[in-house]
Amino acid sequence: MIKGIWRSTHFLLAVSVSIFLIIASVTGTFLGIEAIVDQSQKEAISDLDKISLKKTMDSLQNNFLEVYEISVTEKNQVLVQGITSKGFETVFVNPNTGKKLDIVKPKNRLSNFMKNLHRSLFLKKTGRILMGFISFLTALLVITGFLLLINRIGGFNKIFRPLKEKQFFRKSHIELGRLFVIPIFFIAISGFYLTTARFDIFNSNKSTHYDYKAGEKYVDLDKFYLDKVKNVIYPFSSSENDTYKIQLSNRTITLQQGDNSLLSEDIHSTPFLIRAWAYWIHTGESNILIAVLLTLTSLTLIFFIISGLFISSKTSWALFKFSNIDFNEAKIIILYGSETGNTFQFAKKLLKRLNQDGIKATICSLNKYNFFPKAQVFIFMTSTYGEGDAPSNADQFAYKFKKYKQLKTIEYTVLGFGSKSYPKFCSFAEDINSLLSQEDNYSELYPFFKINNQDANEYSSWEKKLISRFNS
Amino acid sequence: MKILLNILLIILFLGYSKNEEMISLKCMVEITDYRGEGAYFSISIIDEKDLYLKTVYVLGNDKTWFSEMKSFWKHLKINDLYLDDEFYPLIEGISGPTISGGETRILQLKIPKLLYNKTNRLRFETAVEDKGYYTDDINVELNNESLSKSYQGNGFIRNIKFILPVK
Repeated sequence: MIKGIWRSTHFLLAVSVSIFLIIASVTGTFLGIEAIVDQSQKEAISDLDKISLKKTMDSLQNNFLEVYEISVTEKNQVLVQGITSKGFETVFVNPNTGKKLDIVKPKNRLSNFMKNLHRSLFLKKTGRILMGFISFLTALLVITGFLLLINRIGGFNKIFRPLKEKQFFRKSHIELGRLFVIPIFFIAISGFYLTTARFDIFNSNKSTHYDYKAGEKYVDLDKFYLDKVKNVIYPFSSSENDTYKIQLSNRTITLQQGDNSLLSEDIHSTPFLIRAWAYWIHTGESNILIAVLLTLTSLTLIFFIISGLFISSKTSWALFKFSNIDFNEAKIIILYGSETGNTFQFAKKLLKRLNQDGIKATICSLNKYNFFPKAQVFIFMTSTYGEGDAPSNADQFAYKFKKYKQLKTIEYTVLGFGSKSYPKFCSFAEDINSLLSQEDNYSELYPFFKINNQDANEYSSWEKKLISRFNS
Repeated sequence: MKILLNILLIILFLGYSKNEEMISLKCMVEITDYRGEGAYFSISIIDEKDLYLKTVYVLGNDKTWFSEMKSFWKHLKINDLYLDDEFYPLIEGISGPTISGGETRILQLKIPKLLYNKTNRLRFETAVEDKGYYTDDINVELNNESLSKSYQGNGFIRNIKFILPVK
């Protein structure tokens, strides 16, 4: 029952986010590749954690007449704004030598387009809210999907067991699901957090401020490494009031020029740090491995939507659209239990065949089991879910069977569908068979039979023999 | 005859713009501690009638939000400066990395000498997406006397000061 709720929730969530998710994952793939490419350029410095701020500042002194500002970008580039012999310039530098690597080029227009589409669908604020909400729904989608996955595999401890699923889309949906469940969850949650931070939902202080007297505490710039530095604003003029302002990853400090004495410190608040972390996770701009993982995850998401579509079109669609039922008139009732829709296809096939022979038959899922006034024969056709459980449209059968007692004696037969590669091959069908064999007013029409991997030949021979019983 | 005149005008104009003498103004902008996305900036020289004479500096990384700087945007529209293909490189050409709440930036503003120490003004327009827009976050006279003081902004700018051109 609960599984049914997860399944329909998972399905509904997927349908409602799929269009947005397609946009987000296609643009996400592009941005991921861009982040990988950017980090392979010569401007991206790989060993920022080994270069001290002092060394960089000293080396810049030899190459610039005056430095205004050093920034270490999210993409691990070191950007300097200052005056050279050519006048004012904004350039990428090598932090070891202080030499110019390249001038800053305008951003690729395609990249801006993708980023905008990814963040807000060109809808400004509305788009931001929408995409934030989609992220939130995606996180829920991951959770429901994960619960279904555990259920399917048969328990949390079996999560890494090899799969016995045969059908390509189902197999890959589950296989990729367990591989990518964590990355997708983190992308969704960080995307959601970035949106909430944008709208200041948790309305918190940015930092806590501390003042120091000049000479009270000194700072050694040799101990600051560039991976922890965001930017350095040089003193505006040589006036004593103008200070160094250094933004580090967790705080901002101001230093007196000349002796580097600490004047003030602003420790960033936790929400601010979480935002930085969410940005780091969500963009992969400063870590090439994360960028690769993000790209793969985006591609996987696209595949998820496609495979999910195939699975649901086979299952849900087939299960929902069919409703011919005239229970009060039918002599033969086909009672089916189907998870993926395959068994349902066989049940329909049998119904068609019986109708051709002019027999008044109807079809009904096991959960819709009811009082059938004119019934003479029950034909059970059911698959088994996971570790011997009922398929989702059959899990209330045992209860309903006790509730609705039939008046006449019923002849019955059970046909199980399953795969021999599962240890609990057709075990739900077996359960039904043994349940009926214990009832007094039920007699077996034709022996219990199992079909492996939807074998069409096995089915045909079973059908032929069954029909011959009716005609005899 | 008309074509000839036009050509002459163009040549004159090119000659003029090439020789247009610039002065550099060093300027420090401190931003208030707001939370959220980067700020959108446009620094322009305007005359007494608030007409835009020159765009000095533009900042902002997402094209969709430029229209939030309403007055500046109107100027671009009226004067046909917003041609999709030309506007963006122009903007990027004179812009630096974006600046967000609590940050400081030191800029170098290039001002045509002809416009300096006249009756013109320097206007800082700011916007942060839909968090707010200030037409005159800073609006000061563009001359030696007025630029030797520091100013507090009306919106996202906390404080601003200049170093006067030496020459």
